[in-house]
Amino acid sequence: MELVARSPEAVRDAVLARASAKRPILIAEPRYLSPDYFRPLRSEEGVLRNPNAADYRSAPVGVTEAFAAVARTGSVCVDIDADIAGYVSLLPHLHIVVVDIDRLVFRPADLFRLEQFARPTYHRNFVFISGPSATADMGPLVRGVHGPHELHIMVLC
Amino acid sequence: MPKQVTSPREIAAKESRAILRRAIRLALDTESAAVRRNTRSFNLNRYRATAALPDYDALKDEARRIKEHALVNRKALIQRLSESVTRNGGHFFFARDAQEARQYIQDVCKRHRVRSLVKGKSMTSEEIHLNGALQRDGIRVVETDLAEFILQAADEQPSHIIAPAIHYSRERITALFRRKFQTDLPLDTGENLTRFARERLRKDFLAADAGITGANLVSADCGSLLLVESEANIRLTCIAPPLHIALSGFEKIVPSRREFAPFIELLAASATGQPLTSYTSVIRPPLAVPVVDFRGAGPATREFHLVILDNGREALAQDAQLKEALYCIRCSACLNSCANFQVLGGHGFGGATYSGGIGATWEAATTGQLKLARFSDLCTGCSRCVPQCPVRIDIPGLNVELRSRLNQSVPLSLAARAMHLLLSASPLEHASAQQIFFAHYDRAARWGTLFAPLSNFF
Repeated sequence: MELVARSPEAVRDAVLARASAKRPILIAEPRYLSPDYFRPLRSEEGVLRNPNAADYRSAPVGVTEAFAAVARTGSVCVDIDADIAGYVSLLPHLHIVVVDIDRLVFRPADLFRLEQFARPTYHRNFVFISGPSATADMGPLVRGVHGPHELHIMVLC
Repeated sequence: MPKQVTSPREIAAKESRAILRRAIRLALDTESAAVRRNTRSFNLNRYRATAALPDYDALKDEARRIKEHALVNRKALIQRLSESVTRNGGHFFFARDAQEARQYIQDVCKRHRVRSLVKGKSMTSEEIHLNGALQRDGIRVVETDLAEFILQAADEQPSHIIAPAIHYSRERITALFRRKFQTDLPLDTGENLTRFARERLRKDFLAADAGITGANLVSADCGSLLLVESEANIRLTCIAPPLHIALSGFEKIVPSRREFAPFIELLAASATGQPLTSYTSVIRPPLAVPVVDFRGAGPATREFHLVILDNGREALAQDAQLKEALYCIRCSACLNSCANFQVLGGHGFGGATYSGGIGATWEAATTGQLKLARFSDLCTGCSRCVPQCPVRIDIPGLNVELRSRLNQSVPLSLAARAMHLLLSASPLEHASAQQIFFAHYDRAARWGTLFAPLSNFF
């Protein structure tokens, strides 16, 4: 996790630093953050606009927003039907997720308590992501199974 | 050396004490060490995680209350859920028994010309023996949970509710994969084994025509599923194929998404002992995100089917003594905390699908055969599991009830009648000669004292 200044250029620099030489980078269009945050990043080389099946299979880095973060459980909440976030947060080796600190709650239940949550259209499809995919089924704990091997959270503040 | 090697499948249905004894032998010979190690680590993590929950007891009360109310209102909730799923553009089916559920899923797969499908771990699908039925239709069925992947390779039933291959050590997995997959790839560490399975399964995910999952909870108000996992195999199963079929018992239905809240932290803490597992999905299929054409089959639209299963649950709900079992959220804290389970695992202490103390009621209810609850004998009634249960189920109480019914169902042996005549002043009870002897030990001792001079004489 790292703290990043609320500026599109800072987001771009932080993502590029984290991705180092890994390309291509897939980006899901944000639904809650201003799209401006990802704009400078989109014009970088190796950042794909409209990925096809082959790109999804091979891209090592995915960037999405999260609409909330949960302090106690160390989770970020990602709408999987916001643009292509469902794939971008799942298939690449490294998932970078950007969330505004204003969206921080303490516990998962705090989200469900929100008035809007009773509305069926409010976050139809989302996932609490609390780490890279992992398993203990093969004996010792192994990080990196079918989903990302690495989760990196960038908190805008 | 045992004379013949027993396979876990042979002793899955424990209809008699003889089979139970063989199962215990198998468990002690080959599975005990791994089960002991793995349950210990589950326990340590759970103690830590539940202690860190600031309102553990209040969450348990809330979870229990939600389950109690949901069970009372099950008819209305099922009706409401069916309307919600249809409104979302999905298809709803209520299956009265395993056969109806299998048939429905087989028909959906046939209609879609499904050739291969991926599955997330679902105990309910084990319960209805879904894989065999689909395979007989010529469908390639791929279990994607790594523990289920191991069991599919080994052709064994689960031995634990959330860690179905808990009885496998890393060394035994290596040996199994070498034998089964005929590979020279390095398989001597957890990382290598995981990489091997990942690479095989990634192809299967992206080539699958359909995905089948269970659900941890289902909300009636909007047809949302709660899916808890760590490996991301369930997320892939839900998103990669165009067709998603979810299968769940009706006891998983709660009124609204808001009732998911207490269960989210409670389940993770009680099950794997984590604040949350890597992925807790709250989804309402069919997903809005477009299908990516990984299969090369051209554009496809998403379709969703929710199969809600009875299969003995309604009868259980009407059983005043046993209905508590329906509150179970399948966390396995009771199994891990049980002294007998720690030694035996679920192949010894369990049935064809469900294991441990809670499993006896589930096995009897979903098969409709009381005799399959014979493994309830292994519950000593010590009640160590009770404070560990997130919905406060009196598991030893369930097993006392099952045993009393089992005893009633078996005719009294001659030896038992004789023992009763000799020792008991109470009305004839259904029990074995041995049980009667120990129940009236004081009287037996008195007889013994009476005859002591005689035995001294000899």
